[in-house]
Amino acid sequence: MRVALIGRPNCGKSTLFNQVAGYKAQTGNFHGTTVTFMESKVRVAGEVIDLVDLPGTYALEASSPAEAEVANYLNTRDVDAIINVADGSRLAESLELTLELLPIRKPLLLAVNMIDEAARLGLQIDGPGLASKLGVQVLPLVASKGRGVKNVFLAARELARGKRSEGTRMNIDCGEALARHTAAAELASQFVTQGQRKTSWRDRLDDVFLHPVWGYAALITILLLFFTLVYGLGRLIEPPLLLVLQRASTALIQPLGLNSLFGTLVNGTLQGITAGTAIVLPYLLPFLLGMGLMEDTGYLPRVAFLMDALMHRIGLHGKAIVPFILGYGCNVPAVMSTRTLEEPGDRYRAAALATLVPCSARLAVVFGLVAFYLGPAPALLLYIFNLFVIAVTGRILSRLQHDDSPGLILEMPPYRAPTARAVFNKAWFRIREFVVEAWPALIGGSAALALLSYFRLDGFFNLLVRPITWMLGLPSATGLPLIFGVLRKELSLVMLGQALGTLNFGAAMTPVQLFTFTVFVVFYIPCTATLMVLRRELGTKGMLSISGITIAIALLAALLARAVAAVLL
Amino acid sequence: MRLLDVEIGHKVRVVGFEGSGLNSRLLRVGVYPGDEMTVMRRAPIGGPLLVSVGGREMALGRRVAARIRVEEL
Repeated sequence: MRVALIGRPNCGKSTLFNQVAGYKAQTGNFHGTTVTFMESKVRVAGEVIDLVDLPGTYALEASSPAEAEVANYLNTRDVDAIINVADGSRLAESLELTLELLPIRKPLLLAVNMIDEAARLGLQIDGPGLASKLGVQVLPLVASKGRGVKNVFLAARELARGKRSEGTRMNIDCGEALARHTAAAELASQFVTQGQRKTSWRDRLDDVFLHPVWGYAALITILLLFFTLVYGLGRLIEPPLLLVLQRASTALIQPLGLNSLFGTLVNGTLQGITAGTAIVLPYLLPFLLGMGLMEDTGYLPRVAFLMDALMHRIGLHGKAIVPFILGYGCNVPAVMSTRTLEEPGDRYRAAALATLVPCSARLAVVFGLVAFYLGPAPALLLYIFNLFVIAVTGRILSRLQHDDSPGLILEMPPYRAPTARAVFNKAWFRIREFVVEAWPALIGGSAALALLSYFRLDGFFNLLVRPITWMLGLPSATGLPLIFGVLRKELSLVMLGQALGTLNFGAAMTPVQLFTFTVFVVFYIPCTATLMVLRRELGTKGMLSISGITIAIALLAALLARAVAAVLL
Repeated sequence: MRLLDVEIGHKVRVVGFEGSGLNSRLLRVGVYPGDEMTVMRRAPIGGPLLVSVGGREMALGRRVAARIRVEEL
């Protein structure tokens, strides 16, 4: 038995799904597209049903590929019942979709969510009246608190079994969007009465968070807090984690002999696993949890509102701020978050620019080379230079791409208290997606590199990258660390010690070389994990073109840095 | 007049949208000609407008707001 959840964005549909979905929930793709939905087995009174969470949809009438897929899915696949989740605090808007669902010959149920929110706004909804008018069952729901969830699924099961006969559905001519809009507004005025509105502290929050001065002060404070917490958590987890992994791999490899072919292969594989784990646990997990929290409280749209003007200067709009914030932690969740942008052009540009943001791994290289040997001022200069390069690249890309995006159109949901379960579930789904997508490439690539160095092909590597290292005036031996850096950016730093034969980089390289090397590492090709996520979000072509762009930018930026450093350092 | 020129706190009615791309985007999020809008806030330095429409709040970029025709109520 399969039950589908459908509703507008922000109606709490995914909250409902996360309330009942198990950790085994799967991401599915509509046939032949990248439009995804979530599916999970859910137990309802002893019976297992398949629950499908369709992407948030304003209308079935296809104006975006996602909406076209949703409409197709409902009509063709074996969906036994549809649960239409409506936002009770804005029933008129939600009913527009309901009116489109009525003509579909499938058992249908209207779950009016957020009735607590509606009550707070003084709205009283006449559920039975609406039900008899529409001809479908109408049930109250507070998904975030788990209230009414069971009733909704029990009713859906009955409907799917055909045990409950439905009333005669309301028959309106709703071919036109405008006709539906008017009809829905009429229905709402008939069955929703406006009582006394209670103003609460939530209504006053935006007076601070969207204030021309305090809003930005709050934004900076919240972001600082976010990064301190997330980085702090990562730094707490990483050293013991790496220690355990290192011990485990030493114990495993010792009996094999480090210099045997098999030992090398195992070592390479283990390094790949270490790289994968070292990304997921200390960085991805805290960042995804933090992002989920900001998302579910409703603060992220406020950030978009505040930053829209600034983002326009680099050819994007406010919604694209999220990938940039996340990028400073890890580019992987940054690229994942570009999914929320509607226009493909915006998505591509935001992803391309996000990969230029120095993530925490690159921060390690900047600290280890520039800040340590040259001092904090050049390190700060490097970060400012990075912002400058991102801004210029953004402007150039939006000129080249013929920007057709109308700009920011974004609903501001009311502030909501996030639930731990929804935040954890969301982070878990995203991490699993990442592991499936990126780990095979990380482990395979790592093993392949280990093999190549076993057969003493590092000279070949250095030769391969020689055109670049020569152009930048770097020692030929830096070629191998640059290649390893593609697996995990901080490997550039680790491998540099091996390649130069000393850990005192200040003695082996000149200040100008150190600065140039770091600038190149910051900009060139995103790491393997990011590449895999880029391929998932933008396709292979997008991944390849962004890699090409970043190499070109890295070369130009490093050449410029070399010239500037030669004067300043 | 344009939505962009409406002052904070003023209520207007949407007359129409200029440009086809914008039309479909706004209809998709449920903003229609005939809807009543109140301008709630403006972000500084060329930022977006926050409007209240149909019981919810929406942020509209300045380029969007410049292409929405409205009439004063």
